Amino acid sequence: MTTDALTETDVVRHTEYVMGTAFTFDVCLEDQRQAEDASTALERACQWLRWVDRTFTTYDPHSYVSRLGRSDVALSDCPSEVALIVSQCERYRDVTNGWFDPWSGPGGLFDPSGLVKGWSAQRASQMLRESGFARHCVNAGGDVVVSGEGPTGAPSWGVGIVHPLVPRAFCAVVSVRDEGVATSGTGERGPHVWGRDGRPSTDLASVTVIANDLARADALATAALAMGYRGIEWLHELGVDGYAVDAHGGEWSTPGFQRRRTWPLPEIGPTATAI
Amino acid sequence: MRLSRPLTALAVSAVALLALLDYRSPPATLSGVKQPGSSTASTVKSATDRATTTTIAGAADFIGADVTAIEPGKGWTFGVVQVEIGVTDGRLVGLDIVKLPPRDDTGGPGTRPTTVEISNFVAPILRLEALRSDGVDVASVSGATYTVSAFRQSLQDAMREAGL
Repeated sequence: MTTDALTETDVVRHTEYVMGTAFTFDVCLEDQRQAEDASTALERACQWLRWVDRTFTTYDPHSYVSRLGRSDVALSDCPSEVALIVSQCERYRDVTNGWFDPWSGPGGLFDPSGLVKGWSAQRASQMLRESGFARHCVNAGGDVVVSGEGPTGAPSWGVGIVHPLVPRAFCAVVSVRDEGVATSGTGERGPHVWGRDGRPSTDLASVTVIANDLARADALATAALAMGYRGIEWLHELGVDGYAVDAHGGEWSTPGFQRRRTWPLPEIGPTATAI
Repeated sequence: MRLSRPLTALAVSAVALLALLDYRSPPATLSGVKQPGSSTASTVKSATDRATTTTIAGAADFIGADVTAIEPGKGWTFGVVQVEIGVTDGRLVGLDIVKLPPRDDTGGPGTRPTTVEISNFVAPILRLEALRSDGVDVASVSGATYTVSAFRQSLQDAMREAGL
């Protein structure tokens, strides 16, 4: 492998429509001969995502999660992944002091879809890695896992963050590697924003969290968004890199996030503007 | 092995949509003139006549950004997309979708994207490519459902054809 930038033909791309959104894969090849193996590995990862969808969907009354919600099935009779997700949801509910709470949706029914999306993308990334494709990106409808060097041969991946208030702009680009980047926003579909009393704060328009695991990044971003301004300080205390745009377009970020930032650079001036 | 599922190529002319951009570096304004009924119009002229465009047909499948409002819980798959780009002084300054198929299945509400929805989808990708052409490494996008990778291939073909 040379250090030359990969050409487009050295990246296998695939989009899978699953869980009500689009999962996009970019898998970097070290060698053209790997193309077939990459397709096989991708197909396995997509089979996994489709299984997760069938198991956890709240849209199908016959899914395990739907039946669990109606107490038609015991947790012990569900696939072990369901119990794993339930315990992760409990854990993140505790970590976030109840700001992330999959049991607080309409009707009090258990809806783990936000966490499941990040968790399953993280697993898909792990599967690709185990198949020998360490350099890849999995984008689960706007929540991103990146692994290994970037597609251009750079040591990391550039991830652009969409501006929550200016639909035609990015607000930042950050450099990440072997991590997950999740953005929760009031205007974005996907993970619901739960508040302890059902009334999340409206201080912030979006929160982005970078963490070593996408499910964690997503839970923390969702909770910080619901917490409002104090959510940013809370992220800093937890030691994760976070970034928020408030309802007025003001920007807030932890020092760790600032250090990862590749665009706009600080000397350019105010950053929360359209390019 | 081809993973993307085959998509039906039912092309219709989309409402002309031209990004009017405001860049830090040389500002360029594009105005589009399309012949009524023509879905393959490829003429875009800038005020200074320095812009050139190229039109390509790319098999990019992607998903609308504002799906929730239309049909919660379901993806919104398009078929073959034809894009048009504007180039001024070697920089990408405009992007337009000139062909976009309606969804060809059972119909139902909101099966065709509105101009605003197309715009909301396309514009961030254009910014992304503009950033890239300025040397900023952006490989993926957080915060919205853009199947950037799928769409980028079409755009890159167009850019290559334009000599960028």
